[in-house]
Amino acid sequence: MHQPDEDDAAIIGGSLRRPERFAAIFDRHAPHIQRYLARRLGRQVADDLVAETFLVAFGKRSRYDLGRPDARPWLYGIATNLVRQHQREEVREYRLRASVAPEPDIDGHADRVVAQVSAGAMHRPLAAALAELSAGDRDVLLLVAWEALSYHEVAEVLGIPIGTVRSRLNRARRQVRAALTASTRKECANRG
Amino acid sequence: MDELALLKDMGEKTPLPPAADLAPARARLAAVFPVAAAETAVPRRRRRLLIPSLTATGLAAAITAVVAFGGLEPFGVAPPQAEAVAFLHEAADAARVLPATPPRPEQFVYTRTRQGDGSVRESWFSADGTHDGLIRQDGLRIPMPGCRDGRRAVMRGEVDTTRTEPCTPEPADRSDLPTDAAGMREYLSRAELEPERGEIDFDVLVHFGLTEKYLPPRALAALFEVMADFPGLTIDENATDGAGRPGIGLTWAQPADQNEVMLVFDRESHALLGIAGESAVVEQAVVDAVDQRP
Repeated sequence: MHQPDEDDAAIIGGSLRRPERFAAIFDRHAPHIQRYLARRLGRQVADDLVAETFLVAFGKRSRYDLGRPDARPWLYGIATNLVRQHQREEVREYRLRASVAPEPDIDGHADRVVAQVSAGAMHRPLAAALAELSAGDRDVLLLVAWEALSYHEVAEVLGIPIGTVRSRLNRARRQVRAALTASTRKECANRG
Repeated sequence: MDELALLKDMGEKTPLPPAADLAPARARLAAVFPVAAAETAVPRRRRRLLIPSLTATGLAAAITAVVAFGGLEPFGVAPPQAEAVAFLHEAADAARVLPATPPRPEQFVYTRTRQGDGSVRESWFSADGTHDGLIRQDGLRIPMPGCRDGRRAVMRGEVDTTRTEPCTPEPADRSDLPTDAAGMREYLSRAELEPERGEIDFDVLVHFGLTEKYLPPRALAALFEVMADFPGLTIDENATDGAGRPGIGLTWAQPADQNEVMLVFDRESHALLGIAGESAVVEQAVVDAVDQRP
């Protein structure tokens, strides 16, 4: 078994001779990778692709750079490639979320007037905006916003220069912001 | 709430899966372990391919050092254009001699901006960050609770939830900013505005950090001086800002696949008007109270 304080690189290195040690990488990171996939593709596809991610990772473990103690960027990179192969499902997932009725506000009537500026009510236009982003911009935006990766980590995940991470993030934020503004205005017009 | 905060909120709707849900995936992985073990038992020469991370990291660091924070592509960067550089120095010179008129701590910075699509946004931000501010946009009133004694009210739209959350005051008076180019460059690299990510770029700074704040003219001058060092600066004599006002447009080396950001300056006063096609600061002033207009 692995030592609890062993870093990912040590475990992956050890798994070259003793493959079963790779299970520790799964146990450590699979919950977050599954959630990442579920956020982008829905639960069902995520359950399937999380296995796929770790199978691919296991197959490529001999090429893992043992100078990197944290395997998360590597795993996110593999998962993101799989998401790319399911782009149509991803866009469908966002459109679905954009079309379902918003969750009722917990506080009821008092909040009705302001529901459109509360976070929950913005999820639908937000999902619609995500569907419209280019795949590359969406990768960067979601790795930053949902997975809380740093610019450096995102650059590593996607194999792109950090300047590109920044410009993609800026562009994605601008597009999402514009879409939200447009949708808020429409809501107001409908209401008034 | 900005779009990143909204996204985070949306992401939090998806919980981490319990171990039981991951069991099938784990079993699929474990099934290949014996096969791999059998393979490794066969002695053979194994060459491990290492990604040359040192080289890549070194290169990234070098690029970052060169372009600082422009959100630039590392390749094909043209030398700065003399005319654009000269314009920025003029803008800096023009700003530098303006008198500083900082708000008092209890006052508010009022800003009216027009977006490229014609919508108008008004904001009242507390000078010292401890008073309750406000944003009006698209007929909505969005309160911006002040941060007092490290706590601020949690609002849902206009409704006070009577809960509070920890906070750090965000003063609209940015008289704390460095007033020389070297200091400004250092400040930007310290990433004070987006500490959780440890980085900032000029674009984000202009968009989200400074347009609705009070900047001492000398700090603005320092920003222009820093910008004058951007690679690939170009000048557009016939640009228009987000409100359609004509001016001088400035761009710098940006990735070919993004919509170019162009800052638009007033031809005469050299004041920063806004961003071409996106936004424009129509009016900015210090006022005594929320909802008060100059």
